[in-house]
Amino acid sequence: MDPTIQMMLQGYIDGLNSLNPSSDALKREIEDFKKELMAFGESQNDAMTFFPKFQESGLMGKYMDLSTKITLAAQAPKEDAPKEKKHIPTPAEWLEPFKTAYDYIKDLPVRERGLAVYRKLFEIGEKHTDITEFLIEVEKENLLWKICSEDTLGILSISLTGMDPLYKGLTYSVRKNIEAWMASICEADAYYLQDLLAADIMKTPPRILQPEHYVICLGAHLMVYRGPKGKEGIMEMIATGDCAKQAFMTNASNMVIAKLQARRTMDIIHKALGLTFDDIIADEFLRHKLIATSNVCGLSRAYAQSSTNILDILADTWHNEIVPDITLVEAFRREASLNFGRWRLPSDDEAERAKAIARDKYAHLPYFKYEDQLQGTIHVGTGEGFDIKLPR
Amino acid sequence: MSDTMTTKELYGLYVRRFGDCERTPYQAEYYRKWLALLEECSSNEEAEERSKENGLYTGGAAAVAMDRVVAHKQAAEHMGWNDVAEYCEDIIQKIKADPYYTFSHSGLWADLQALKDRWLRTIEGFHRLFADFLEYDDSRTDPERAVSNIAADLKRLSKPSSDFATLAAMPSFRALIDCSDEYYKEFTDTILKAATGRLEAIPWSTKDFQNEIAELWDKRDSLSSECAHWYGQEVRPVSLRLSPETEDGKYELINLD
Repeated sequence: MDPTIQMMLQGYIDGLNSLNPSSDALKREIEDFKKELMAFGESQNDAMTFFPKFQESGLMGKYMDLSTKITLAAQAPKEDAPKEKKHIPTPAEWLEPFKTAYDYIKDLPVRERGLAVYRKLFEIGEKHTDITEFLIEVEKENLLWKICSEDTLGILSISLTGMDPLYKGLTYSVRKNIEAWMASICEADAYYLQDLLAADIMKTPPRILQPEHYVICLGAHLMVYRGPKGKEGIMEMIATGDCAKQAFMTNASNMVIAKLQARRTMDIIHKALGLTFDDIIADEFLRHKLIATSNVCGLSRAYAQSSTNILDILADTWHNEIVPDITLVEAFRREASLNFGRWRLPSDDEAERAKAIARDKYAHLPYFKYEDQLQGTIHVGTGEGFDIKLPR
Repeated sequence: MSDTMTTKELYGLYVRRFGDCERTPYQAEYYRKWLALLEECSSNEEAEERSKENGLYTGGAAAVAMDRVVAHKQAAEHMGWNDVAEYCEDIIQKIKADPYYTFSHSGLWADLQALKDRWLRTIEGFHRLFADFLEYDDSRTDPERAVSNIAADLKRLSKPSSDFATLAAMPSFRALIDCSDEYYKEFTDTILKAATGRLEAIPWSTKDFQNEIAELWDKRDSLSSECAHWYGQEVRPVSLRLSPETEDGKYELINLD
């Protein structure tokens, strides 16, 4: 066997023996494992690739399992052990680890709901000297579970205030998570509800997201038809006398293609979802999805967009040019009677200004107060590219 | 109050909470046994000594672990994920036989998740197939791409069946797709056709757009007054859209002058 590999394997055997296996059965298991380990070592000849292969073989996992088994067996009560007077902790002693945890997060107001449970726990601790009486009062309010559930609920509720409440595809999983945590009274409950929730979220968001996804596509086609890549680009060329044929023809082709795509997409929306264009315009959330926008703050809380009348322009385009399928020339002739003004998309600087205004407007909402504290490693997927990060 | 009285009160509360929760039969049972033992003893110390003899002393961790598995099992049963539920039952039996089983078999949770993932992946795959269909139906210009995407996503299907037609006929999978029955049929027919590599490009329109584009180019000078009218209008300011604070509110639009 390669001497380096042999040295590494011996390290594992020594590690197991150092745990002082408490029974002959465990000692036999170590011997069996040693044989298996050595046979594996013999089959390897490259110390550089040994470790990944060791992990792949499952022997690493077996080593971990055996270590745990020996350690747990050593901790089990022994029949012949001398009887010692067991120290029963006072509430203050029992609460020490909780105080450490509290100190770790006490300066994070975003965790206030969890912190309030800790403070309640400490308050009860101060009232009692007997640990059992203390635990009775704690159990009556289920405070040990609430440390976890209230902390999580606090963060989820705060995160929700950073979201566009009309955007159900985004808020759905957070609301469902809140419902699940509110309904749970112990850890096993949480496992159960989270399993159901995982399947529910997997099933549901796409259903909710479908209409808006297609409305966004429809809006994009309308914007191409009407905008600088289509009709307005040509109008500018003609108005300024700068008609390069290739650019002109490209824009005209874009108009034709965008018109066909818009009709096709609307046909799908109607067939699949039973919605008409007017239904979309009548829906406060969906009609705004027709407009190309960029989120400027929070979790889709505020959007920088073109002019305030862009929806009127797109609706006019749909009803008077795309549905009646008038020719390109006829579409340009209409412009003499239209007075929508010209529109454009926001620049980066304008998006920054929009962000500042929105943040000021929403400054009172908890999400924006505590945004910098919403850090951690447990993620609640929202199904729309955002993650709520729950502190551990 | 003697010390067994307060311990009994505490364990009684545990029995009530764990008994109230359908997910925690083993913890409820564990504390019931403690209560019964405490009834027979005159002190907590005596109960503790006797608990070491009957296994109760070390049974708490096993009860917690079994209840965790029960929770996963019940969720699996609720969703009809029979293989997951059977796996959970097997684990429960193994923990009953060896209270340290979950500690000495650390991979069991990953194995459990892998079983659950097969079901979740099928749901995801079914959605992806619908998205593939929508993408194809939206343009119908690239059937090869659609066939390729659909072939890849069909491989995601495994539980309760890897056969698309079987899944598509199940009410639970029909419920995943929010569309009319007519469009659902188009979806399933298209996927089944794609599975045999038979999708075709369908032209959107037979209208001759080249003439229309040429006409626009030829008449561009005659459109100068309409275009000048548009060009002479003010460029409207961009705006900020603020979402409301409640679900029944409306967006607020602000000009960014």
